[in-house]
This record gives sequence, structure tokens and C-alpha cells, in this order.
Amino acid sequence: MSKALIDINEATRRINAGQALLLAGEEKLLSRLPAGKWIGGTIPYFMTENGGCFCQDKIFVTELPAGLGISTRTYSRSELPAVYEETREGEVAFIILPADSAVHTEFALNAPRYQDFAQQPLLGWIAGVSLSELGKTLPKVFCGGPLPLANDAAVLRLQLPPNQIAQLHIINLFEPGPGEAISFNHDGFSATTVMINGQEQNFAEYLTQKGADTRLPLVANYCGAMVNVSIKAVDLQNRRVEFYAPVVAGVEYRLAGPIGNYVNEFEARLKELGPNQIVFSCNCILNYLYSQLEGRRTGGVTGPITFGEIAYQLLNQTLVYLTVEKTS
Amino acid sequence: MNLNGISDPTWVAVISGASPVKFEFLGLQLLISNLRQRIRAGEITPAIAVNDVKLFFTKYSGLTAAQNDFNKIAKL
Repeated sequence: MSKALIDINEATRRINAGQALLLAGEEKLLSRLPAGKWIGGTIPYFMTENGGCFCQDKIFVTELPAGLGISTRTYSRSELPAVYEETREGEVAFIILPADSAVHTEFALNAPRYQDFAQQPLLGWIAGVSLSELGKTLPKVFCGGPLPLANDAAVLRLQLPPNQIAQLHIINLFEPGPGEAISFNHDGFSATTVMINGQEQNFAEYLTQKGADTRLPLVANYCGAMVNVSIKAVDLQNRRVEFYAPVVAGVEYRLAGPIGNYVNEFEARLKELGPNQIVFSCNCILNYLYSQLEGRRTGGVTGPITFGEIAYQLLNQTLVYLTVEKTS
Repeated sequence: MNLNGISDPTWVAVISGASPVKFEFLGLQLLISNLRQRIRAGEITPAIAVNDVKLFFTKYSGLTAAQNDFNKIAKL
């Protein structure tokens, strides 16, 4: 298995050789690839062995284990709620969704309510575009061929051998800070009124008055797993705050405490990992930007940079990775 | 894993958070948190949540992290 930036000729060769691949790159490259056992999503930012980079003329390839059962299919918004129940025993499902699409919103808001949620491993990412193209170019996904899709999810399922099992992990360096408890009355990608330590307040005004560093996400403790919701915009004029992932009603959030040095702390966390080999990983564009990862290595963990990460559900500002273990 | 060796009230206490357990398996952490939120919102009953968690342990019984988490519940 390999994970690397390669040129389009090498990507074509690997597809034609029958390799099962997860691909990330510019639309102009992915739309020239042949049909085969691959799914892909647009993005020109990557973590490589040489560090974070912006690259528009190469494709990041994650090669999946050879000789295993592979299937690919698209999911429309109405089909997406079946993504878990249609993943069979022993399969791991990779999913790519185009940012700001109907399927992105559907998955973000409702995945935890899907039939058989988390009963099979499902991971992947939200496809994006160059930041200079935001609002001008739509993110796209590809499913087994060169047709770009702006409104569907691409899913690749890998059937593992009977003695192997997939495990999803996250590395989230953010922890809830010492500030007030924040809760919301409604699920959603934006909020106006929130409860701050039980008192109703406008959230945009609260963040502004507090002088909050909005590069730091809201963090909630999910039974020990820290789940972030990143802040997209504070719109004081409309008294509204927008998020990159939905806040969930009734969940207690806090603004994250600051991180000293992302790379140093990340590498310290990597040392906690066991000997499991990382099959796939991806990291968030906000970590790439705010922690200035361009040109800096993250302990040899490589993969696409994303507009959102998926480990069972949508996550923000989090590194997601997959290991495969022998069953005990 | 002997799923039936754990009583339903114990499962409910774990899911509701009345019996806090420090889990290590990400899938279980997210599943239980989401089930807890859905019970509070009146979307599902505790009995449905218990079935979901039991199914989860059945599916992941071969995984060390799941076994470790199950053993923590079994010791309650």
C-alpha cells in the first residue's frame, strides 16, 4: 500500500492495473482518468511525506490493499440514509461528499440518525477547492470514472478478509477551554440565540464581546471523544454565527483552549499510537491554515486536506485515520 | 462477550450517562453520545438504544478496543 502524490500518467497506470484507489486532486486531472476501482474528490491541498503542500498538477493516491472485494456506487441525497445499512459485515466504507452540496448537508445533519449508524466503519472526507476558487468553482466527487459529480456522494466499499477488522481513529488536539458552557436550542449550521451558562444570549454578540479567537472550534465531549464544530463566520449585522458542521441541540459545548504548536503536539500524540499501520488518513483545511502546515511534516501521516472529515459522522479540525487489525 | 450477562438497567445507565464509563473505542463513544441525545430528544426509547449498543458489540467483538470497553461495562 502506498500513499503519495503522483502524476496523472502514474494514476492512469495504477487504475488500468486494477488497483483500488482513493484519489484527491484538481477536477481537471481527475476528469481525465479512466474508469476503474476508484473514487475521488477535488482538493489541491495535501499532507505529503515532505510536508503540507498546495499542488494543482498531481493527484494524491491512497492505494488500498490488493486482492480484496471492491464495490463503488454513488448516493443521491435521498439514497444517503441507507449508506450504513447497505454496508455489509466485514466491509469498510469510504465516502466522499462535495462541500456545500445537498448530500453534504444531509449527511452532516442526519448521519447519527441513519439506520445502523456506526455499526460498520464509515470514513472519508468532504471535497473542496482551492481557497482562491471559493464561491467560483464547485467541489466535485468522482465514482469509478471521470464524470465529475457536484450533488452526489461517492462510496467505495472494501471487503476485508475474515480475520481482519477496521478501526477508525481521530487525533483532535483541541480540548474544551475553561470558559462558559454553550448550548443550542436547534440543530443546524448556524445559530442566533444560544444558552451561555444557562442564560439566553445572542451568539454573535457573545463571541464579539468576548473577543473570541474564532479559529478555535467549539468542542463537545462525546463520551471521551472530543468533537469539534468550527466557526465559519460571525455575522454581527444579522446577529448570526455560521459553522462548518452542525451544532446539536442539547449538547454542551465550550470554546476550545488555544494550542501551542500544532506540529509538536501532533507528533506527541502520534507517539501514543501503537504499531498499527495507517491505511488512510486525512486532515482538515483549517488545521492546514491555522497551524501553518504548508511545508511542515506531521509525523509522516499523509493524505488529502479536506473541507470536513468523516469518521462515522462529520467532524471538523480533526485528523481521521484508519487502521486494520487482526481479530482477536 | 456475554451480552446477556449485563442487565438492561446497567445498559440503560451506561447509555444515559448515569453510570459514567471512560470508553476508548471511537465508534462506541460516538454511538452512545448520539443515542443519549436521541433519547433526551424523545426520538427513541432506551430499549431501542440498548439494542443498538448490543448490536454494536456483536459486530465489533473481534476488536480489542471493543472488548476493553465491554469489560468496563461488565465490571459495573
